[in-house]
Amino acid sequence: MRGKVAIIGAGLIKFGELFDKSYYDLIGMAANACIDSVDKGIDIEKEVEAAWIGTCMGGISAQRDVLSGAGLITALPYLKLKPVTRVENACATGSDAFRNAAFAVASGVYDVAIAVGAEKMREKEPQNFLRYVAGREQVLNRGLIAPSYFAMYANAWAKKYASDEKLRTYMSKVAVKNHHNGSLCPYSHFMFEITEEQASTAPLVSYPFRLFDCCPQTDGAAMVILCKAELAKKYTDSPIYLLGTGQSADVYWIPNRQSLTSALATVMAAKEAYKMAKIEPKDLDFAEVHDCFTFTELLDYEDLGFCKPGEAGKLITEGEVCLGGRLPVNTSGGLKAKGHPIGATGIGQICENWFQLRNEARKRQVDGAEIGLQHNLGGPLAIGCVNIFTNKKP
Amino acid sequence: MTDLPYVWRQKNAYLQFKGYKCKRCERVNYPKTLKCIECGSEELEEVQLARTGRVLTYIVNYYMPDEFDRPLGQGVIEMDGGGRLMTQFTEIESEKDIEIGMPIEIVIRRMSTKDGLNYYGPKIRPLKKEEK
Ligand SMILES: [Zn+2]
Repeated sequence: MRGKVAIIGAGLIKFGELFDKSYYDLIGMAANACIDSVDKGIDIEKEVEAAWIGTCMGGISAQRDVLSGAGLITALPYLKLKPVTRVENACATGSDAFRNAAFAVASGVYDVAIAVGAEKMREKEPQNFLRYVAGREQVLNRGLIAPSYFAMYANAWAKKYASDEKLRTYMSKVAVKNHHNGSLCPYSHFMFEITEEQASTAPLVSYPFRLFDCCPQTDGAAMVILCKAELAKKYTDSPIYLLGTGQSADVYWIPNRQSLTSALATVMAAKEAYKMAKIEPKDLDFAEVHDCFTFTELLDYEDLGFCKPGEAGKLITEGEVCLGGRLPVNTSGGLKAKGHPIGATGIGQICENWFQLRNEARKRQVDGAEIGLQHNLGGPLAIGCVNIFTNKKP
Repeated sequence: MTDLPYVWRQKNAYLQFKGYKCKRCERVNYPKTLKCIECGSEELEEVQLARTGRVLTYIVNYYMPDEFDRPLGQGVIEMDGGGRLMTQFTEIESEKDIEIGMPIEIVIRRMSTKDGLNYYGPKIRPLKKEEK
């Protein structure tokens, strides 16, 4: 698998509240951007042999569903009658759709494939969205919403490694960093900066998370074109290569987990990806990680091996994960500022890898970046997915 | 969509607070399950869970739809003698009333009302000083 698959085109739309665009419009616009990014051009109708569409919230979030592969044909008619698979895997939906497309290309069955991700999170009223999620069960899990799951780990982590006050400071610093990065990223939903003071005094959502600890509800779409590595130069002189990929599913219900201070789904996915890539965390030049909540990013530092367990606070406090630091994290603004249109999130992170590894990230460029990572953590910290990329042919 | 079959299947777990102890690895599963979550064995025996336990972690939701109590505390707890679960707190006003490691008891309370039916289940009640 290592080095067998290249990305020869990647594109996304500016994430945001896109009330004037349909699900299919978003996908069509991302496809246009992606196709335009292929340096030497591609005849998408003739050359793309198969497609994977990652979309998660379908019926809940949008007016219309993309509930099967056929939904992608509505958006991209030129794929008519080609094999299209729809993937749903919680917040790892997009990255897993990509992963499956990569397996298909690595197997030799298809030379060229696409992976698309899209979500419309703002089509329905937030209160109704919340009502659906909180009311899924009548007894035990009634009232649990996305921040609840991650906050369970945050409070356990604070008790074991820090304190509520220290965690508050670290989370605010992550929020400030990602809003700053987002202000430099033209694809970001939020392009404004915030202060630590604002982050630490915003209204409580789910203790210990306050408003600026939470990613927004965002519409978006992103797409990449994958091909067999040997064919990459036909399309561009600057492809990026998939070095390693990993995925892991943990027990769904939090009380049945081995740890409440480490997401083992991330740990295991990363282990598989690093092993395949034959690299260690210290070899990374940048990383796009899952920061659905500011604490999630802190947890990711530890679970992805950027630091030892309990030491995440040091990385953010000393600025090592900021632009200009040793390992810039979420240069795009992350889910926190760029947004989290679930199906599009992972593929959007892969697009940021594409920009960074091709030296196209402008004000947020990491100088001389050669190896980058993309990570999602889906559901109640249950699904981990990690992909590692490089611009040097392995 | 009705929630009845799913709740009915768990009536002993929800209303009598029964657990399901694995004969192979001794793990106490909760709620009812076909296979032990630890070792996969199907040899599970229904046991009475203790009424008391301690808090492993918790959260307090402040932003909820109108039909929910606010703030709404939820916790992951471990019962004395085994069995772990996650459910709502009762009788708390904020995160100041909850601490990791604190002793709690389980009380069976109404969790929700839907389509005219009341749904009951275990809620977590912090033990007051004089009750410890
Ligand atoms: Zn067992």
